Amino acid sequence: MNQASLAADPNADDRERQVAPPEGLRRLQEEFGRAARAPLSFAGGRMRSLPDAYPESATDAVRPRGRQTPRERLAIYNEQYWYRLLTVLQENFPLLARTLGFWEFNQLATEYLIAHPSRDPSLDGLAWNLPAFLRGNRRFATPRNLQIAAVDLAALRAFHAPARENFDPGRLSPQEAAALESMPMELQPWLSLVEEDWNLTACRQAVLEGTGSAPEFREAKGYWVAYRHEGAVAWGALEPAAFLLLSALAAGETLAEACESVDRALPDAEAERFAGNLAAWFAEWTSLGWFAQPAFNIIRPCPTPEASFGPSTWNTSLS
Amino acid sequence: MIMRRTDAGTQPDVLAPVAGAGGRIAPHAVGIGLRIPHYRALFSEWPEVEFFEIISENFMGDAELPRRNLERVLSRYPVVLHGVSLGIASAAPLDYAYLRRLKRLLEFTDAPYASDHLCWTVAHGIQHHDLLPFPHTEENARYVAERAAIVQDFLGRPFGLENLSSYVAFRGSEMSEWEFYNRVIELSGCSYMLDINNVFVSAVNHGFDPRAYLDSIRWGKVLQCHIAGHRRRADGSILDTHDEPVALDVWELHRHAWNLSGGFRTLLERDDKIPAFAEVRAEAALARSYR
Repeated sequence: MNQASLAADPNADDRERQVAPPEGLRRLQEEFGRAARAPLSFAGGRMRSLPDAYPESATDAVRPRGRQTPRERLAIYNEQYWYRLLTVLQENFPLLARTLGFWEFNQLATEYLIAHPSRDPSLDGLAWNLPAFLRGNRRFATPRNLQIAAVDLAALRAFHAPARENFDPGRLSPQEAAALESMPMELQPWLSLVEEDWNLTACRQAVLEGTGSAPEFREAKGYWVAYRHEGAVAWGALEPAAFLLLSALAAGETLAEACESVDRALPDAEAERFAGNLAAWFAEWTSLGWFAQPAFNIIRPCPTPEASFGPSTWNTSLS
Repeated sequence: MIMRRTDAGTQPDVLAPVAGAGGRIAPHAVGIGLRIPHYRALFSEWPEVEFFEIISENFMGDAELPRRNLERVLSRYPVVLHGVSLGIASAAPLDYAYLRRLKRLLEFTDAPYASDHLCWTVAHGIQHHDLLPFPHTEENARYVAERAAIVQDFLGRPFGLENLSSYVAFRGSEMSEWEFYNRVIELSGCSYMLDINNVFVSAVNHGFDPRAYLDSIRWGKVLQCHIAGHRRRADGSILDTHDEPVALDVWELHRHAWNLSGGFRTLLERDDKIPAFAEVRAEAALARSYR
């Protein structure tokens, strides 16, 4: 290369520099990508690539060698693409995969990946839209399958979702404590509430422990919270009133509103017990870090007007 | 243009001992790819290992447990970073959100260097999560080299590019794979992360002499060499599976490379059908016998 091109461009943005790609490289990657992502066939009882479906421009770019045709060589990438991503989805939804069976699950997952291909360098978020996708699938969207997907997703969120700063009531100013009464109590993004009509969390655990047998479902009402504890996924059984309260908070209600909602929904005897449990529950959930620090946005008078270059108020965000 | 000069005198000596959070990595150290099934053995026995290589993306997300485990590893061992998703040859723009996370991980681990693959990963905005090949042309070499130099500048530490194992060659290629690899390293000022198993796999798949490939490498620019296992297909081609012990042919190439270079760091990768840690460690130690 010539020496001029070795010098730094003085006009380049040092923070986020980019380079224009060669047009031929861009075109080749688009065509190659189409071949790599071409759906596998499920006909005849086995998954296999369909090399005849690859764009001619992709196969023409490949040099033939030995016994393998360019299409057969591209098929290696095509199969790798699907096997890799289907394996990730099977690992992310272990109970759903075992319940449907891997053959059926792979068909569902293939349809999902066509509609929701990965757009992130990380595989962590690849599966998150699968439960919503399942809801629109006539073949597999039974009430039990939808609950199973929700259970698997809850575990996924508990492991991978971002964490916000924990709510610490001991650090609240009097103003913030007062403001809290009219603010929603926000739950951590990694916390999920799961209502089940079958013994799904138990079946999921059995699948993870590798008992080898198919899940043995039985009808059983359960209320669960999936959360993060010391980095790992933890499950807690909840009383119905506790589940209702957390659900109301998750829906954006303030603590007072949520308590009223639960109180209205419970028979009198249970409502009394609920009131007695509330303080202990709240303390336990706070100690487990289930609540995120609220985004206080308290308007305060500016303490030193002469130092202010803007409006005479300032915002404090503790989020 | 942000190309760096590649004069030997202006480049850091990549074979000098390098220091990370967990200590120094000797110039001829033998390391192992860090994998989850080995955590139990590591955290209970703390076996002697000179360094670990981590898959960068496994520790760049919001999950807390991987970070906690990494902290434990860092308390005893130095680590280096090896990525799979940068897509240095992608026609898509460089992903600075990804690069910022990678840089934070570099700072967190104090890894002496990072690496990724000489491949593309994204098209139509879609991540293929694979290491995909492209034609070896002068135009592409310049494009990739310029991006690699940007990445190395951004990260502020030596950045290595790993040669691919590939299953296709392109009609549009103007040079051999090793000529292309050398050209990118020369133009970018980055380093080689030379995968000796990949040299062997591609040599069989494309019918070239792996020793000619190794003979062309400028060894003063090699950060580290990878070794791994592969699998032969019925048609005679090879898949880079990392699910078998290192093949004898690859060990012999390792010895050839050692004789050419005078020494380098060796790293054993195992990604599938992962044996017990003691077995992997024993296999890695074989690197000392093939010098």
